Amino acid sequence: MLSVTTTWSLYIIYMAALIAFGVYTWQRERNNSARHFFTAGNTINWFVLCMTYIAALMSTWVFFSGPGGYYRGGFGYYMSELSYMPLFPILTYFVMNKVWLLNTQRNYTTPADLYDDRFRSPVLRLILALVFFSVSLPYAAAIYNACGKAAEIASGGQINHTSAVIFVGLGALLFIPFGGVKSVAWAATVQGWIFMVALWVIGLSALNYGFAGSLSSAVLSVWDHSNSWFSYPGPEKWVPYSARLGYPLACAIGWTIMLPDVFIRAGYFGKDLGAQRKLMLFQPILQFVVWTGTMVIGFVAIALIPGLKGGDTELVIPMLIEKIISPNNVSFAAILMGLFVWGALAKGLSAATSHLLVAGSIISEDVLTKLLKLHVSPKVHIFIARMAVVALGLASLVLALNPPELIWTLIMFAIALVMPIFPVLVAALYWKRATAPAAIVASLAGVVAVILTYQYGYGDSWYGLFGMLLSTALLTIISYVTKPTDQQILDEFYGALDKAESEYYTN
Amino acid sequence: MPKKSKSYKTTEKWWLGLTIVFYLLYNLPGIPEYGDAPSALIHGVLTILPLWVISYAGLIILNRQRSLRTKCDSNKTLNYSDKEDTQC
Repeated sequence: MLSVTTTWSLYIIYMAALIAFGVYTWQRERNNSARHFFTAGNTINWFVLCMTYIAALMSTWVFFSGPGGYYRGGFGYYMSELSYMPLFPILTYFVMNKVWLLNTQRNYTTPADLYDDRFRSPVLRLILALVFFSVSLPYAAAIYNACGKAAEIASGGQINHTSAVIFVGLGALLFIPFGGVKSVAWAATVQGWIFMVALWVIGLSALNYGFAGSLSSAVLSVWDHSNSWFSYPGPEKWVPYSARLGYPLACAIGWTIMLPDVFIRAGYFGKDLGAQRKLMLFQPILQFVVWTGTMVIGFVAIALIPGLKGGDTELVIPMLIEKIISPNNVSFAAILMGLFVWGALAKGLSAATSHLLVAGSIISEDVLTKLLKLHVSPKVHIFIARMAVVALGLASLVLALNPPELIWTLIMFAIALVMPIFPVLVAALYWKRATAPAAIVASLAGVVAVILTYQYGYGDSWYGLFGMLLSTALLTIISYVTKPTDQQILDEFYGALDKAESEYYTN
Repeated sequence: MPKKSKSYKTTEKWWLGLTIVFYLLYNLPGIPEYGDAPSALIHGVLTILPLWVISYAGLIILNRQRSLRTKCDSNKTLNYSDKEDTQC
């Protein structure tokens, strides 16, 4: 579809712009601390906060598995997603805004910092660091892989997948260590618009060429020929009752709150509570815009090219461009394929860089500084932070070039794996009786339960629900049978929260 | 002041409670029946739409009831490194 030169040009222009922006941000922010490098230290304005948040959420999934998911899962799959989006303001109001308030007083860097502040347990920090790290690194690797796939598809197989992965991986490596999270956030703001425009233009163009722009004709066609698309459990039985309950919960808790890259965005990035409020207001709307665009593509695809199975459904975007749009307008189809490449790159890099940064912060801050008690000057500290990101970027690149089978499994249950840690967070914020031993056992047992859920074949539909329930039960029981937390620690932690509340709210 | 404080606490409880109720209603086992497209759509309209309405209505009411201190007031006690944050 696209020539080798055009595809490479798109990649090179995009990566060059990203790197230039990273260097520019580095010049502006070079004297800041490691905390600022990783979390921007409560300085991100509401607009950038909203855009970097949505960009971090939407990985290349939106351009590959997403439309394929709607193709196979049907409208029920879409409705299950619509059911978790409105939970975001509630979860942010009751949980993440409190994290944000605490951060203004306690200056956290990694997600585990807050837990450690409340429970004062290096063991808990280690467990959380391992969990958060193990969901971040494979995510970045898988995204590099998808960017390579996008180049391969767009060029009709003329560009070698490996060379595209290496190019994107090395380009990202040049970008992230310079500007840190601030450059990632600003770049994600621009990238977010590119991918949202790309998504809707592709979907509406396919509808226009396939059904002369008539949505009702498309609906009637699917209703008559693939009626199961409109009901549970969907054409390929993707949304049985278990998935209708488990998947949205995993999205609401695991995906939009607990994955480390979004946790630090909702808890540590925002400039003020006004920014947090805008995040609560706009995030469900942005998710609605993106998911609906993705659903429209899956819907138009099942209307125009029914009968696809398995992995083929993940390629419905290039298929729609080649089979439906190209015969009508070759030049426009080439432009859309270019948008597909840029959109996949934009989305992929937003999510990959976010995950790499947070994985770097875990190594630099949780492991080296807090657990191994490394005492160095601030300059050396920030150097270590940058080098941690470089090392992890290289590791993800190697992983992307030789992906083990485990990497896909890890990504599939990443959102489930972090769910058992959510009750511990809620208890940390609201329940003074919660104790460190209970938090340790609940986190560990909950994560193991999630792994076992997958091991025994229940994970694909129930996700982390059983692990989260077990974690909640153990946290409650063990807290009551163990010694209460030292009053001085509680006063310090909840005192900081009260102080922040009185500083930011009038009542 | 105490009256104001109480009103937002009540709103918080209603907000959380109604969200849980409608989320449970959406997740009632056996409803809608598998393979029944019209029922699936009606079920979605009756449960998911109210969830969105409750979420935004609660958020807007709470934002009105719980006003924020002005930036200048709050910055007096913060340690931001950004220059624009310390203008007050």
